[in-house]
Parts: sequence; C-alpha cells; structure tokens
Amino acid sequence: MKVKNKLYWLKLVAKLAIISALIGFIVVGFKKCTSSEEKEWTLENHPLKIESIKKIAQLSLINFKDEVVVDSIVYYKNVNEQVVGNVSKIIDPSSWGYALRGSAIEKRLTLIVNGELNYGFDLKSDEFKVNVINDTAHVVVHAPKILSCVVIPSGTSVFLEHGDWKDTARKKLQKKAILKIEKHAQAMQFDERAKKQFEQLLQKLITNKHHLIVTYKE
Amino acid sequence: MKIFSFCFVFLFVVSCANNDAQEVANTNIIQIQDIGSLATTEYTFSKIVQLNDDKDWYKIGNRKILFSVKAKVKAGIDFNKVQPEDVTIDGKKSIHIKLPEAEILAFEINPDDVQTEMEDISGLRFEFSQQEKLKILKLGEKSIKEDMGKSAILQVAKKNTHAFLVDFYTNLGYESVTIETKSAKL
Repeated sequence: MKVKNKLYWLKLVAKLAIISALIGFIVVGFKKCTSSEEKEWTLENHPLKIESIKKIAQLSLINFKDEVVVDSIVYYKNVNEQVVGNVSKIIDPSSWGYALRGSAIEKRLTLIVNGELNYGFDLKSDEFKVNVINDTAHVVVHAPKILSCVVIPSGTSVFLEHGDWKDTARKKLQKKAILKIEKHAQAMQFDERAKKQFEQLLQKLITNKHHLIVTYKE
Repeated sequence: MKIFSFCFVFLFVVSCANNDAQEVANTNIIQIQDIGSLATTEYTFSKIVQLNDDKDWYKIGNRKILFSVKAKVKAGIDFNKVQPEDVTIDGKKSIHIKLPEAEILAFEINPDDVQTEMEDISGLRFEFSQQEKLKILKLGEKSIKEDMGKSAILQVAKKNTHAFLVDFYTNLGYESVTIETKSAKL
C-alpha cells in the first residue's frame, strides 16, 4: 500500500515537472519571439543628402524647454461593439488585460513629449532697418515672436499604446504637443524680456559710441 | 484538479512577471533660459532610415521598415560668447570684432517630415508599434546628427554671419569692418 502511494506521488511529481517544463518552454519561446523591443537594432547605412541651404537671420533670445502629455482615446460606439471588441482582445497578447476589465476604451495612445521653443527676432524680414542720425542708432525691427518650436523623436516617448495606431495619429499628437508648448510660452509673456535682451545685445555690438533707439513694429 | 490548479498559479505568476526593459525618461529641468544666438544658415538634410528586423533565426518571417526623414539644422554664432572687449573701434570709421566659432544651434524634425515609405511584415511577425517606430526614428535622428558634421554647414554659417555683421556695421556708418574668429578655449 505504501509502495503504491509512493509510486503515485512520484508519478505526480514527474507529471508536474513535465507540464512545468512544457509551459516554461512555451512561455520562454513566446517571449523570445515577440521580444524585438528589448534588443539593440542597427540601421542599414544610407547616405545623408542635402536638400537645401538657406540664408537666414534669426536671433533667438529666450529658450524655453517644456514637457507635455498628449493623449488620444477612441471609445466603443455602443455596448455591442464593446462586448465584441473585448472578446476579440482576449486573443491579442498585448491587450488581453484590457479585455478582462471590459473597458469601454477601444484604443488609447499617450505620449510624453519634451519640446524646445526659441523666442526672438527674425532679422531677415524687411522690417529690420539700421540707420544712424547724428550720434544715435535707430533700429526698426518687427516685434519678437516664436521662431521655432521643436519636437524631435529623441524627446518623445510612448507612455501607453493600447490598440493599433496609424502614423498619422502619432504625428497629430506631436503637433498637438507643439501647440501646447506654444500656448505655455505665450502665457509666459516673453515679449518684454526679449526686447530688453535685444537692446542689451545691440548696445554691446554698437559699443558706447552711439545712443540706441529701437522701434518695434507690431 | 491539483495539476490544473498548479498550472493556473504558474501561468498567473509568469504573466504577472514583467521583465521588459523600462525606458526611463530623461530628467531634464524644465527651464527658461536667456540666450543670444544668431542663426544665419539653415540646412535641410534628408535620409532614408531602414531597419531589417530579421536577424534572429528563431523568428518566422520578415519584418522590415523604411522611413524617409527630413531634418532642418540651423547654425550660427552665440553672441553671449562675445565680450565687450571683443568689439573695438579704431578711429572713426573702422571697427574690429572678435567672434566665437560657428556652431549648430538648432535641430528640428517636423512630424510631417517623417514618412513611412514601406513596411513589410510576413510570417508570424507582429506589426511595428508606434513605440518601436519612435525607437527606430531615434536611431535615425542619431545617425543624421553624426553625419551632418561632415557637411560644410559650419563654414557656410561662419561666412553668412560675417556677411550679416558687415551689413549691420556698414549701415551704422563704418567703412571698414574686420571680423576675426576667436579660437575656442580648451
């Protein structure tokens, strides 16, 4: 009786070991097959081409770095769609967790974007004029403005990606981030600060030989 | 029944274990900085960014992607590096100015200047996610930054900056404008 009992436990342990090994093999195999994100990629080599060369004259006086979160959510249109959608998510390894929650969200994309904005003067415009009358330098320049607001791939990270998203959605979110950063900058009212900086810089360039009068055209 | 319970617990533990490499966000300081840079040259570069994710023998099928990327790069000088003693007036109509070396001032990739030209997924491979596409674009950005140093952008920026300042001082009434480039201090 004891031997039979021992044999039963041995067989059970052996079965469990085989099942564990099989499951382990499947899980490791599956993870390996879908593990492209974890490895280092190397790009194929292609030359860098110069498309155009432009002469500009942009004087940046304020540099503003900002970080914003932009989000895009698509909801199921009705309960039937939600049920069917959640059932179909169960077979998708990347979203089965959402299916278990029975979420009303069909898909969601959230980006964290670090952008950089430059504020200053475009001196290439026809409005920029320098004249000397007696000992006074008269400078006419267009009012300061946003010269550039830059969002680049290295400053963008995906916080959440649930569901299939087209490139247009990512680009739309990046443009939304640019608008958000510009809005933050406008709220800071950089105009006076930029004008003060501009006058200090001009004074440094013209030395004390001339007095300086700057007119800003709106 | 016991075996099923064991399997369930095992699967639960395995599914909850997350060994994915987490991307840690750079901890930059959000800041407003007073600068004084004059960009005089803008180059537009274009590059094909190609990735073939088919190096692993155990993955069944191919996964390739091709982007075309345009980057705008601005170069010029940083006026904050010009000290008051770098501008000297000789006589009444002559001025001498020492300028710092030209440098890259801005690097831009407009979202609309990134186009996915081709994606090829076959076999049992997954589509490229937006996260993966961004990772590839970051590699493309790095590659453009490495290659752009081989172009003449800094020399052209130096020439354009000199031309701009000669115009500026001529309008101020100077007949002779000499511009010298300060060598960078180590």
